[in-house]
Amino acid sequence: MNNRKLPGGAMTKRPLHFIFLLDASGSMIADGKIEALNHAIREAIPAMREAAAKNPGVQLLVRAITFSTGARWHLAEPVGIDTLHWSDVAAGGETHMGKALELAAEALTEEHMGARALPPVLILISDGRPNDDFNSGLAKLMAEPWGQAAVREAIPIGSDAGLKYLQRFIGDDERKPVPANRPEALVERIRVVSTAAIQIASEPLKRNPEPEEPAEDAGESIW
Amino acid sequence: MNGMETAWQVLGASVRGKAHVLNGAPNQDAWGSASGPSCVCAVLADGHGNKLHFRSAQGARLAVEETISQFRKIGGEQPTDADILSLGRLISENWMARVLADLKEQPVAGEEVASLDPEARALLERQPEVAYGSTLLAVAAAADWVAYLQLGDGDILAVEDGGAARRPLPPDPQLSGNRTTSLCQAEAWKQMRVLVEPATPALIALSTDGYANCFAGDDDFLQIGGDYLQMARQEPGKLADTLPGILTEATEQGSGDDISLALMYRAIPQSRDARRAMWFWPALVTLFCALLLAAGLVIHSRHKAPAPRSPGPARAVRVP
Repeated sequence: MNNRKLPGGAMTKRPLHFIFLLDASGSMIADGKIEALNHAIREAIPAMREAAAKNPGVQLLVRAITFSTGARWHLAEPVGIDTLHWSDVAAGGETHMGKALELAAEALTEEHMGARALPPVLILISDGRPNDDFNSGLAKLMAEPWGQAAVREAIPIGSDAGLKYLQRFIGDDERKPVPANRPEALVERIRVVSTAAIQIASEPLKRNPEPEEPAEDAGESIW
Repeated sequence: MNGMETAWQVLGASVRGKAHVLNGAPNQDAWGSASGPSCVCAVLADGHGNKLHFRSAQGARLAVEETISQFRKIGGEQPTDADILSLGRLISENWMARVLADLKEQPVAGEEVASLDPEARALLERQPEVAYGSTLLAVAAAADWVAYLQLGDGDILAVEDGGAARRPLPPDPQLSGNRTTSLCQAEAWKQMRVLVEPATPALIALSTDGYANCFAGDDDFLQIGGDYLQMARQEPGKLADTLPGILTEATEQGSGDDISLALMYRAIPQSRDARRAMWFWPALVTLFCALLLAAGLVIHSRHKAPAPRSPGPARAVRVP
């Protein structure tokens, strides 16, 4: 390694902000969904590390928001994927999805993101319908240029998930949110969606995000 | 010409990004420079990295060739912004013609679009020039004016003698995230930013966005201006040799993207008076020293007795 001083100041890889927006409402307690969600995210981390490693100019930084009655940061400070250790999310309360979108919008301002950031990745995972002002939250998110530029993906859990809300969050009718109806399917969906989104956000000039085509969950539904 | 002389030197390099090496992608940047009758120019182009733009390396090369051929025509008078925009229009139209000619010669092959989705393939059927998409940065510098032209992302810095760097062109609000304006757009020239300034900075740096994206912040990036000015003035030959290595280290530590950098700098001094001063005084001192030496030799030769050519018998000296 050459230790010569390079022209210019400090160098760094381009930050890619990856934010999970996780449903932690009371319905997630039923049928072990919240445990399955925690397990699935933990299982997805190695694949996310691999996806980041394929893009050597990218610094993948993970955060997480949970929403139930209100929304809050579960992982407030961006954590590099190499040092990420997932701490379990607990469930209980209502489904304030709109508040989660507002909280995400606050983190996506020009001031917070900086000029060198790649388009952020937002992954929304929910088993229900919002019972707060979803429209207002989505409007605030889309009012931010980085919110518009974000690679937005959604994973419905079970048959009661509010698909139309998740579809509006994705913002592209060509990409349908495919429900995960079993723990194994949830592991696979989070892995596939997360890694595809990382790749899309890392690629320059991606005009039409093209995540890996989700396979229909052919297994028996337990949610 | 205000007593100034064109004394611009140009050097540059283009290196393949670390991510491109890892993914087997080529260097999709291109750069070039040339001298015209009254100015020199440097041109950079950054072919888009997305797989939709699978011939962007070719597009960047065509952009540099076309721009150099147009910029060489700039005459002695200081052009106006409108003149440069007219050139920009010519460049974008001729680039499109070159691309269409290239497509006629080498139609898009099935394997080139095999990995694209139907929507992307449909777009390419309508607008095959999209495959060649590229940005463009160009500067023409004369003795007392500089013309800047830019389409899409990348950076042009003007660096003053003290090392302070500024961006002469206004920012383009259309450039955010990974999106950029491009030569493959219809009427791309309408998206170009142009400016002609009477100011003549000490150094002008043109770089593709892979370079600025290596740095933690904009202030860190702007520091390259003063650093390169110092290097260019102290050891330009060494800088030319080491520049590819510097840029390779940058892509490894930073963006992972292709990086191209062209540096236009003034050989000191800038003015004709200063140039005259540069050779006049050393020449006068040298002449003076030579005269002193010659005078010394003459005096010495008159006062010193010649040495005997060879030892021999002592001759009697008659003393009157």
